[in-house]
Amino acid sequence: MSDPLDSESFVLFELSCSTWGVRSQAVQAVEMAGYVTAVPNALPFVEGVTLTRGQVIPCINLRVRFGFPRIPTDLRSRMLVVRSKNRTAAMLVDSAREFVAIPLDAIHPPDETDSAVASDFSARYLEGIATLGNRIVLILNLEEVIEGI
Amino acid sequence: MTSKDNSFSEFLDDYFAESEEHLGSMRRHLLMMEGAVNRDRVDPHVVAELFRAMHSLKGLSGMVGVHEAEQVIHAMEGALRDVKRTGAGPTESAMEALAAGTRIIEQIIAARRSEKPLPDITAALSHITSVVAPQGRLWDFQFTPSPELSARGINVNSVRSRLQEIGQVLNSTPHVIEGGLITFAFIVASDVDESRFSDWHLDGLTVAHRNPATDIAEDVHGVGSAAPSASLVRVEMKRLDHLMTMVGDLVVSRGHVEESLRRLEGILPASAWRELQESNLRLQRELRDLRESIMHIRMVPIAQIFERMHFVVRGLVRDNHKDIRLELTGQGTEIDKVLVERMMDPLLHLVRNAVSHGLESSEERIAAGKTAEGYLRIRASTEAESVFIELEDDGRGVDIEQVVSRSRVLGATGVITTDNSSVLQLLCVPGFSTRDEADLSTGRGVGMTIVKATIEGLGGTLAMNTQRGEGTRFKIRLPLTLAIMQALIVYIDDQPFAVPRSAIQEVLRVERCAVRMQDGNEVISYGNGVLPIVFLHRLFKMAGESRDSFHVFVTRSDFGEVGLAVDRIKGQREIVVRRVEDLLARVPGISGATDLGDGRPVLILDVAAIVDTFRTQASGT
Repeated sequence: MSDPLDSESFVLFELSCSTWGVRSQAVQAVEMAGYVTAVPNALPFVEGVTLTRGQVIPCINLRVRFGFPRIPTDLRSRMLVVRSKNRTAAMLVDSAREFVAIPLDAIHPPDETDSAVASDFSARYLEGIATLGNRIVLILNLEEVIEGI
Repeated sequence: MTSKDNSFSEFLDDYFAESEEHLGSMRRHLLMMEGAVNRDRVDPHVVAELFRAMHSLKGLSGMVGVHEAEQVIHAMEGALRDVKRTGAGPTESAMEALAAGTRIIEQIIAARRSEKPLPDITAALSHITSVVAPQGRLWDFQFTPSPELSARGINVNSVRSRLQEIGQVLNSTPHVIEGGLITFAFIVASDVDESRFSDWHLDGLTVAHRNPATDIAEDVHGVGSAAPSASLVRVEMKRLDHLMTMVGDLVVSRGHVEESLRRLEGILPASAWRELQESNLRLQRELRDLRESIMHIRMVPIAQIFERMHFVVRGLVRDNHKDIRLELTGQGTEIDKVLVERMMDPLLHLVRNAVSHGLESSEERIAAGKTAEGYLRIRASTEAESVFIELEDDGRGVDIEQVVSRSRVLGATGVITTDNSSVLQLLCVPGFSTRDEADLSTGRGVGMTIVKATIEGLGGTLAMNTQRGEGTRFKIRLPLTLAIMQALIVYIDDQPFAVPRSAIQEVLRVERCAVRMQDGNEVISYGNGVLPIVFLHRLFKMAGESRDSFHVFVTRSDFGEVGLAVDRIKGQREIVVRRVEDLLARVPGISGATDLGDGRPVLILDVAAIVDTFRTQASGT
């Protein structure tokens, strides 16, 4: 059951009182929020651009992307630099502190009740649901977040 | 398998790089040989160099399996061998065949490079082989026309056809001899028996056996001019780019140091601070030298493009039956290698346009009271941080009425202004072509839309000046280099932006009460006229517009000067341009980003795009 071959590691982050998980192999860095330059006339969920390793990448405000209200960033806010296919982007989230291995059999596809947990807006970004003890982790469909634009 | 494929593709890259060199050499020496067409002497050095280049390219092409190029060169070598045998200049048709051969090789290699279908070489091959003389002895014929001979119907033309019957005329040159008489010398390759022309002297034709020229070496491995290449190295562009990026990083790091120094002024003891500041300034100078040295490595003479022009014009002149003199100046002007590659197609398009549409036929020109021969002048020059390329012809000019009616067809409404810059804008509208069917020579290339887009994408500008019946002039301005530039740092609300120094003509401080409305635009008095003002706050939906006074930077555009209003201008500095590639962050009016030293990206304004947007909005009201 707990064989490492049957599990995958995820970076967990918080967004509007829910815990989400994104596959750690897609995450290049987790950084403090800050240093994001607003880009005039960009899409609403584009917080701006940020510099990482000499590259200028867009920063996506995941709250806005999911239809939650925007909140000011604070010391807990984090930027996850993620890569999917050919796009590298930063995702602004409320906080991110954990790195966990989740057994594959703990993840199941979302059903309608689960979607209600995630809110109507974010349902399309939900790839699965994992139960870790008494916690529920929503597995992020990263491709849909940063490619489905 | 994979590793083999990799090494082969690397090898192909080398092939493309090297073939470019040999093709360049072929073009250069063919142009030199062109001067010897129908002369009785040819520079043996030029012929030897041609052989050398062709031989190398043939060998390389065979190695990487580009057999089409190999075949064409093989045929060309046959034609060139005739020149070598006679030691005299080539005939017009041989010259034509060699030029055509070079063009088809270019196409073959370009097609291989872009993995597109190869051009059909059968026509080119038969064209080249048709000018190659059969093996056989060489004869010198000499014909001196006289009234008596002419009365018997024997003149230079009848002699020429007689000679063509017995073999191939490899050279014909008129000479002026004593007494002001003209005599024609022909070199003929022929297999027929001498007895065939034993009585031709009765017709004023003398004949002698020609000793093959011995002074032209076909020895492709000869030394001589190959020697200087020993001190040259070929470097992959990618490595230079990497070096340039590292210098860019150094420039940013020095920026950090300067920021810290500024904060430390007054905190550190004055003498210690001064010492640090001096080191900082020295570092700045040294970095600039380093940057310039690297930039220089990337610079190549614009002659590379110009040689191609010569070739293209040559072909076009023949196809269009026009009499055109091509004048090139400033071949030594150096330009970034990347610019050379990207500018090739746009420039060729402009040249094709000038020859096919701009310049008239000789008859038309004479009827219009012009010289029979038209000219196409291409000039390159450098000024400050810009390279200028101008193309000027003395053709019929742009038919403005036709442009206007075509724009109507494309859906333009309202009043269409017809000053030079507006007409250029119309010409660059996608889908614009005043010909219903693009003809072969111009239809193949890129349209004016792409020409403009390419130039602007490289941070340059395109301007046009046309005069009905007198000609057209295009002026292209390009930045000398792409990665690092001088920029003005401006603030809109509290956000800094960088503006390329090259886009700014002047900086003004303006009181809000000086702004008034005119024709739906906000303007201020400027010089003898008015200056329309674009408020960037509004364009970017930012705060800060209500200030009592603000700064305006003046930029020159296709349709006159425009002022861009910002809150304040902080100063000038060197920036490293980082491209913004992600579509999410690519918005109109922003061309890239830079880092001023605090790790925070600063957006670079795309002044040309902003002025374009403003112009569209202004003309829409």
